[in-house]
Amino acid sequence: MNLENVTVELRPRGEWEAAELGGRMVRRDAGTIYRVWFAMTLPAVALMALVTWFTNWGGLALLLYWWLEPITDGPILRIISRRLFGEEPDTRSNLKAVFSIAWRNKIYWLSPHRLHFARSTMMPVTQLEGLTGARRRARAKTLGARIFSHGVGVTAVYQHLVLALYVGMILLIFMLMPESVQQSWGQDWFSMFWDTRTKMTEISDLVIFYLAQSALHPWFVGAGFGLYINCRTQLEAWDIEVAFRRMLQRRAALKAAASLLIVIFLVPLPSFGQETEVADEMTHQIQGYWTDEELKAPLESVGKLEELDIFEEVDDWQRIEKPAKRERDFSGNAMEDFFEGLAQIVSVIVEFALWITVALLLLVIFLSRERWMPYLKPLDLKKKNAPRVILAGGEVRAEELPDDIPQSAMSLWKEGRRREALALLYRGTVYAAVTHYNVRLPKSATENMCVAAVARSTDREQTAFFRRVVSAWIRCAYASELVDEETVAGLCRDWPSHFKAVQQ
Amino acid sequence: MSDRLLDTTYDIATPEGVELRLPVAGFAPRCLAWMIDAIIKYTCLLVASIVANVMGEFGTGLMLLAAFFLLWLYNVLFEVMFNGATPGKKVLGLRVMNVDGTPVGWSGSIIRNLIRFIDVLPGAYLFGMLSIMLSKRMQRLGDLAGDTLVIYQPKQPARGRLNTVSPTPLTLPMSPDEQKAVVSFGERAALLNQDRANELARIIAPLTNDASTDTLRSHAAWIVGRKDEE
Repeated sequence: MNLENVTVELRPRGEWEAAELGGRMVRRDAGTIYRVWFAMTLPAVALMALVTWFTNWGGLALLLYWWLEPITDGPILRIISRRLFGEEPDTRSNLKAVFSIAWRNKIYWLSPHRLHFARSTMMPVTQLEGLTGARRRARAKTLGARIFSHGVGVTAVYQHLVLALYVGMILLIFMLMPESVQQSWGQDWFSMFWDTRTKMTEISDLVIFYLAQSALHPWFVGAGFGLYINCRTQLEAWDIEVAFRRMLQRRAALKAAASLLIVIFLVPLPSFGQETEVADEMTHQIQGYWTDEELKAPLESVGKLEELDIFEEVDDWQRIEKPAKRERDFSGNAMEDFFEGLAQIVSVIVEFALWITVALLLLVIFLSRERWMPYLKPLDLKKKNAPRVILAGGEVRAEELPDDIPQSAMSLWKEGRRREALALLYRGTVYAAVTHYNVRLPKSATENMCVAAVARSTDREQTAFFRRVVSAWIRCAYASELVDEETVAGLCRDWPSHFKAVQQ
Repeated sequence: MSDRLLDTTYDIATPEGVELRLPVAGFAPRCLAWMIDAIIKYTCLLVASIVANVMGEFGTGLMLLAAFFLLWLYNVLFEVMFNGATPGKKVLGLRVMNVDGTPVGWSGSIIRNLIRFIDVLPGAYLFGMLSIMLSKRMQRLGDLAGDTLVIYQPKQPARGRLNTVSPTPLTLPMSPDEQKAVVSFGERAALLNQDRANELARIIAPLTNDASTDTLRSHAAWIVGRKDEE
């Protein structure tokens, strides 16, 4: 055992964290551990399957298998404990060691102590420290005072999780099964008295239990080992020892480097010889300090130390005085009446509260009617679907156009607002073309773009009329050259004949 | 041999350059915490049902409400409002956190407790258990979805065992880690077997020029900054 090569972070941890660390140690070497585990257990399970298949002793075989479970703890412990002190896990050597390790000190664990509540936590004491008899008891007492309860917790979690995994897997298979098979399989599986089950069901039951156990048993061993290691880290301050040794090592390296520098620069210092001596002494300390005898000494003294003996045996009952309770005398009827009355009062209150809430809600709805009323109006489909006509000069809106476009244009013309009259005529014609003939205009269409669009979607006669309107407008807008009244009157006269037909 | 020592922590570097080490919790304490919470919840339901029983129809409504709140809000409320710990988690010293080390919020907690109903599938938490076993930070599916994890609530280390010695200044410079080791020795020496304490003190005797436990403890007292009263 050499603490310098330790491969986990040593520090005093909380108990659950320590158990967790043990679980992680198992996960780190899961490959080796599972190879060894399956090498140990698969033959046994195969044998059990055979026994189940050919005889009616399957249940007994399973019980025997379960009772012998502690045998498998040793080889798993060997892997993780050696890895803890820096030894690479090697499947072959571990497999070779299985036989010698598995049975070591197992008489204790295969006796009724099989039912020990914190087996995996105490297993290292017999398995790794090799203690038996009174010494084992003393050691178990020292460690148990600190970690027994958590060891029990680990065992409880392990047992329940095996059960949970087992049930979970059965339910999963059941869920994924086709419905036609489900019922007969379920009946066979869950039949109350197991003697009616088929052999096949019994063996799959065995396999599922084995899988659940395989998933969790190494974790169980590891968690117990984690608790054990943490306890010893605290009792023997392993973490401090590691830190102190590192400190010493660092100084030794620094001093060696310093003396080397001194030699290089040939600076004659009186303390030179002394320095190397100190460094030598330190390296000696680092290398040869921790002999086996020295290791064992504190171990044993930890076990027998009186200051740490926190046990006190109490063999008679002691009465703990409790503060006297206030006497309360309720006859059964009074209680019932009281509760019924209370219930009635509360329910009346709640009922009123509900009605008040409903009234408030109604009030809120009424007061906010202006907000939600618009949403209830029937939709004006025509308006919504009206196309938008956007010309280069701006959008033409239906609202701003008069109902009778040619007539209002003519009257504008006669009033002398001739430019406006032509503008109205142009815009009205474009709008009418879009709404009546489904002319598709590009956005911000110029006059020529409008003509092109109209030419694409209407016949020649329409286009010719449209051209006449546009040219009249263009001459006014861009050349300030008004057409004569005759032309305008002609346009207004012809206008209805071009658009009216479709309007009706 | 792996370069890093095996540990149960999950390290986060914050933008401020501080390294946080969160000790991640696995399924054993979480199962037990769940069990305690389950006992509390079902006791509450039992009490509610007794009260409901004498209250007739109104009682049935009350019962349904209680069941609803316990099922959906118990975990979320406790996790968000009581430092990430339901009563069960508190007993086991656990705490829910966001993966980035911040306290868990409403969304994280709600998601992780909604997905619980997938973790339970197909019964007996099979999916959740497998997820905890296989994920790197021991998260169940709800934790993965909500970006949360369960850690051990850090405990205050035992202090105040250095009162009996008078502080002595250190004669040589020490790195922070080394000072920490000396302080840790000072605090824990009294809990150790006397032989073992002496043995530890002897290891660095070449540095302190004194193999006695008390000298080392007085150095520890000096490092933690305790003033000499006399």
